[in-house]
Amino acid sequence: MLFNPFSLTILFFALISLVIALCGGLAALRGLKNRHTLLDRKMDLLFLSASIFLTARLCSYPFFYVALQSFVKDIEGAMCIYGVTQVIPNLCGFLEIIKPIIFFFTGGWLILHYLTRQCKIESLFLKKLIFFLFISFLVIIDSAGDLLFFLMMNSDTTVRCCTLPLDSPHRLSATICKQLLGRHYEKPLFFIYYLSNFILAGGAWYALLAKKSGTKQDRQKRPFILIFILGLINFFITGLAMFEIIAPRMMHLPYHHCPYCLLQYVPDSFIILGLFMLGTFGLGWTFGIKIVTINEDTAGKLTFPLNRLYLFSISSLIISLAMVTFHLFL
Amino acid sequence: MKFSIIIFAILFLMCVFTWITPHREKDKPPGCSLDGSEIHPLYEVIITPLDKMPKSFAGITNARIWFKENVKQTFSIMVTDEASGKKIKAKDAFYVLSNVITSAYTGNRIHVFTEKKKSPVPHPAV
Repeated sequence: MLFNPFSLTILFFALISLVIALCGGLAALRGLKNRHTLLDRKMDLLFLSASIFLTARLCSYPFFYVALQSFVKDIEGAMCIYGVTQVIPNLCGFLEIIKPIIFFFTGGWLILHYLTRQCKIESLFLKKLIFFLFISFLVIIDSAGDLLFFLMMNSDTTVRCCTLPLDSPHRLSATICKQLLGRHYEKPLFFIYYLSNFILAGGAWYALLAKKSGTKQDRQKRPFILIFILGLINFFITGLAMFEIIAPRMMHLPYHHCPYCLLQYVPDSFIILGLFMLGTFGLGWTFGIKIVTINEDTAGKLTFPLNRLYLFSISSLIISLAMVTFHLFL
Repeated sequence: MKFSIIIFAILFLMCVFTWITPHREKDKPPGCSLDGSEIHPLYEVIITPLDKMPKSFAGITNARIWFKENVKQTFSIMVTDEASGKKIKAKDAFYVLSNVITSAYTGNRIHVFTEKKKSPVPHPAV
């Protein structure tokens, strides 16, 4: 076992999360069983506790990578976080996939809870409860995974780091780019990266303006589904661009395609990636809340706060793009 | 108004970080031209493209990966004799594949020597 202050913090938090998520999940199940008590004070208390706990839980996602970074010097052969992930690759891969999913759903629930409290909408109580039950289930799995991973982490394993798999000409991102754009894909991919981000930001801005100016019927037809799909496509394109062109250029290592090394060599890449994720997730949160409230009579009350969320998402995406541009051209 | 202040603060932080990072990079010691890792003097490989600045690599494996991407250019390649630490031309060196790993993070097992008799491990040359 390998312990340091970061891993001990994660272990402690994972244990607390597991217990709280189990209790919260059971309380939510009881609430679902006795629906006539849905608006009781106990449910209010459950949601209040859940919002505090889940807000703290949001921080566990970036802290996971901070903890992995702290292990780099202790693992033989590890040069960056990628090397640390190779100690227990399958479990770490699973955690790396589930954590952003939990972040997305947790953020969505917190925003929904905050907005419904601000706007005093009680008709969404049942949907919030079901949503919370689902998140509790995910948090239980994630916490158990964290406990297992950090208890099994050891310094006895020698690993191979990122150079061979991620700088090989046969790496997955290069293969996908070659299939889609041909052998000389760098310049087209660079162009598509900027085009995709501009289309997404522009489309979201258009949808925002359409919200403000249209009638109620027009607002119903806002292209928020299209924006959500554009957001997913942009996420995929930006991911490819990050591996293939942005990370190598920002690190001034044109043949090194490791995003974990980017976090090491370019300190503000955390901010760039964080803003991009918040921007993309923000569009997803808006879409999700629209879907959840689509048949509610009180959906109109959420229009103004959702507009602000949309604006926040557009700003985050543009700032992330601007920071990348500064790095590449200054 | 509040929102504008937040946006301005984010833009300001963005500019500060963007300004700080290039300055910090100048203080960083030069590493491998492929992946930025620390170069051990005994395993250094130097590739000099024609009329360009020489590039240093942490080992044979790193140099090979870089070389595959730039095979069409003309180079002079210098490798390091592990016995003496001297730089020699790549075509004059002997290469030995052994079980001893020079660099844990790439798993490189190719060793470089000036003379065949100095190669400690009786394996066929690569």
